Amino acid sequence: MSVFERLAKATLRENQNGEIPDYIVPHLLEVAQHSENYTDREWVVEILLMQVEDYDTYAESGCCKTAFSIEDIYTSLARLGIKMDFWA
Amino acid sequence: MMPAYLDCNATTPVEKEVAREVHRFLVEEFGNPASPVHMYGTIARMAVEKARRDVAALVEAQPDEVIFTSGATESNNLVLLGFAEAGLNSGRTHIICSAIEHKAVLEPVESLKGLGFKVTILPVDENGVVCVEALAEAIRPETLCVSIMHVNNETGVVQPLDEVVKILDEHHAWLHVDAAQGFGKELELLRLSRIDLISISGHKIFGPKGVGALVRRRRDDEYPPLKPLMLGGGQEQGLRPGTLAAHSIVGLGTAARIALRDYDARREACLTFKNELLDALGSLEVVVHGDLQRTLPNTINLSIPGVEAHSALSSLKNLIAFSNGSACTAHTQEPSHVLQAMGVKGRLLDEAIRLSWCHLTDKVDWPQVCSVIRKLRGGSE
Repeated sequence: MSVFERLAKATLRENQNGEIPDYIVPHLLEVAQHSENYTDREWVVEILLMQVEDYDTYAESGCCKTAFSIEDIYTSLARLGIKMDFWA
Repeated sequence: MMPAYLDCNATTPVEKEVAREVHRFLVEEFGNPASPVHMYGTIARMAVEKARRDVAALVEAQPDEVIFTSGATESNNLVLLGFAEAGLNSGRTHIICSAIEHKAVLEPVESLKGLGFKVTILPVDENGVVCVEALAEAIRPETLCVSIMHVNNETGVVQPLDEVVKILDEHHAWLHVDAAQGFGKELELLRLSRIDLISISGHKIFGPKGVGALVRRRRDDEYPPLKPLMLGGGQEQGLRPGTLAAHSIVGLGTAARIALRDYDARREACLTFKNELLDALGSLEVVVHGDLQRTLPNTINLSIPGVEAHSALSSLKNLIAFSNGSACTAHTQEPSHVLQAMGVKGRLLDEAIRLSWCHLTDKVDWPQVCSVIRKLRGGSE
């Protein structure tokens, strides 16, 4: 299974059963479903997949950051050229 | 033309995918992972965390149980010397290791004697396998740590860690495994959760030199009580301060990911090479050191009766590149402490060579190799 297929599965799974918020899902699926646009940045998609799998709304709290926040996901999406209106 | 490279236990070639990622994080993504306050640092940090997960996955550990170091030697030292304070404070000042450990274990253990630690060195049998019965006899309440390697670097013999774990089941001693040679090449044993500490090297699994890791598993929700050997910065949970070498760490992580992905294909390629080698050298009546049923498919240690190792090295240098033992001690003229522990004596010691290969190894002209060896013996081709 490619990293793009894994990203699609993880996004839907973590949105339905985990904490990935609805508003970020279309942006993640934009990457997952258009692999041809991102093949030269697959390493960023690998990072994005990790962030989705280990997303935690409260990742920034506590002394040791072991999970990933929405800010982390924003950064990766930005590296893939995806900018969200509210983030401008 | 370069000779075929048969010294993969000294160091492996770097996988192209690994080199590409190392270059990316050396040149393009050069941010400091400890500065995640801007995009440069954030991406570097994320890449380091990805690498941590890739290393952890190979041994089924948790990502926060992985500490990046400069290699297995540093990891071994961090474990053995890092335990000293806990041992002295608790009165548990007994260490056990095997006679065939790498010098990166034997020398720190030796230095602990100067602090008042007692040391038991476990023997091995003629097949190069650590005697677990001796471990059962040696273990005692004040044993702080047992250190037994995963795969021997000279013989390729996989050690019986499953049996070691059973013996330690009812004992509180910490179990450390130097997995420099076996990480990514044998998966099951390192996944035994009773193994508390695992030393890993990047350049033995087609990654860069100068990077490795220490896996320190929690037991009963607590980490092994290690103290850092260096101070200043607090990186890697305070155990290994200093700016993280993100490019090398990414290289190690990529190498670990590929090791898992290509595990079966690599083993198959190594087995095919091994069978060709054994077929070719069989007619020379070589003496193999180490139980071939227990060795990794990429290593063989053997003596060619009538041909001293240094003569073989010199005469075959245009055909194959190999060594007469561990890379760390091959430049000395001392006989191998590993083979001596196995009971190898006399001329066989001087005639011992180590051949180690991988899935990237070129074809070898074995008939030509055998011809040179027969000439060395003074026989006809």
